[in-house]
Amino acid sequence: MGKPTECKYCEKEATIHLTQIVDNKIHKVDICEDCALAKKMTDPSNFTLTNLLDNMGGADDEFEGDLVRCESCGLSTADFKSLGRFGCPSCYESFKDLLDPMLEEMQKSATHRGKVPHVSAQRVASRNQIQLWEDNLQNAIKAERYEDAAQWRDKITQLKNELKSKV
Amino acid sequence: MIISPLIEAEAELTHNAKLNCPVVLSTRIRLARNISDTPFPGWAKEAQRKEILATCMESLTALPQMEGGTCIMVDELSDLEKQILMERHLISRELSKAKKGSGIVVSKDQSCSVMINEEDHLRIQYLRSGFRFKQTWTTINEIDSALEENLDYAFSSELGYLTACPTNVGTGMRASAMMHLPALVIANQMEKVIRAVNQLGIAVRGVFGEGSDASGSIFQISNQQTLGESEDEIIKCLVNVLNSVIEQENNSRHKLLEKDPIKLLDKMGRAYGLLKNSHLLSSAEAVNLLSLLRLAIDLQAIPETYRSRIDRLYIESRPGHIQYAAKTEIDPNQRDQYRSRYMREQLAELQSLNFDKVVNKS
Repeated sequence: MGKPTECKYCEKEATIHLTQIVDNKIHKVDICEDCALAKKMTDPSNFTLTNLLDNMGGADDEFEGDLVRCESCGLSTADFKSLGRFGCPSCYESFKDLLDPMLEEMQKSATHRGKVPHVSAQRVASRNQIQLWEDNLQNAIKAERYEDAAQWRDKITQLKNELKSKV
Repeated sequence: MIISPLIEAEAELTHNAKLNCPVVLSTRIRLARNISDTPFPGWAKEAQRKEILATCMESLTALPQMEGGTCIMVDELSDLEKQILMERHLISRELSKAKKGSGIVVSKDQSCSVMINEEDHLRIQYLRSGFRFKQTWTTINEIDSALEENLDYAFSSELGYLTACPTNVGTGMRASAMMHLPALVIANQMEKVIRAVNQLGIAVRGVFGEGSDASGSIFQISNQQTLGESEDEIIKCLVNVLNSVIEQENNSRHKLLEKDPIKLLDKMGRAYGLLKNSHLLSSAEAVNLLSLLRLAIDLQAIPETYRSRIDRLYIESRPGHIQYAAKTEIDPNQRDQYRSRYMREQLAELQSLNFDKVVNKS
């Protein structure tokens, strides 16, 4: 046997060695008895992805975890840790800091190289564009820049027609 | 029963076994897809789930590939119906426990099934008997592209298809093969094989996915990673691994026949005897015996024409299917009795195993 392993959280000798397989990936944690009790990790059935996420950086403190909340769907870091799932597509942006180390750990790389839904992506992009232009239109009207407003209006109409013709 | 037409119809999985295809029972690909700017099913409110369900159902039923298919609302199903759909791999355990507003759409030949509001808004699955990844990917890719014409998918150019769980993000694809590996099990080699393929990023599970056992020597082997490689690359890597597992299984069969043919013949012979003569048969025992008959087909001790029947019996011997076939509620003991009678009937005309070819081959 090599030298005794140090506890992940303090410098004492780790006497508990926990191995958990989540999605066929092995995660190991070495921890001393005191920290295990403090972190309520003594019952393996309660030791879930929650704790694993602690080990992947992000929030170390339980309270700190609540600070991030997805603006779109309201999911908090704590929610994500307990569910192990995101609340909505925007969560990928909201929890980027938490996500990046996870992706590094479980995926081949962090960049998509597969299929792209061109039709659907184009439609979503156009719709976002229209939203943006509509804001511009309103601003132009408020500022009484009517020539600008007319231009925005024409652009919006044109893109909307293009969208319609594709359906 | 809502699902009766599904059970009684001829399906890809139960009636279309690919001939002369030892080892690989079926090929399956599933794609996880979500609708943009909408909470994932587990976080969505009931009204949002219902809205998603309606939108997806409409787009799915409009697909030519789904013509003549079946739409089912999960909350209208009884527990037994859910169990039967799980036994046919048409729904997951997760969907069977889903909150209100979940559904499935199954194509006419049951090769394509789409779960709505499972973990993701859409779980599209396409399945073919035998070892046919190219064809399976081509078909599911077409279905997915056709759906995309009407549905706005949640997609990021950097991370690909966005899924509720980051383990599926990217391609959202899980490709898998159902493998029958009796010789590797008999020779106690499976643990070694599992460890080796795990290192290549490939997962091995029991026949009903995560946490299920590998009764009947059937294993589901699939890719684990979904981000960083294209679908073609993932499939290519998986197929390479599967080919080497097939080779291992075949080697193992040769070795068993070389070393101790009598032991193997005895196992198959006993399986034949038990299936044709027993009066109480548990589900686990039936599946293990059927596995040996499937091996006997591969070794040409049973005519090839029985392959489809054996593959179908694998599914029909499961508890939910037996309960359904009995047409009345029966306890496990009665089920074992019913199952044994069903096996006797189904295999009544099966002639004694012809071991000449097995022995000559070895």
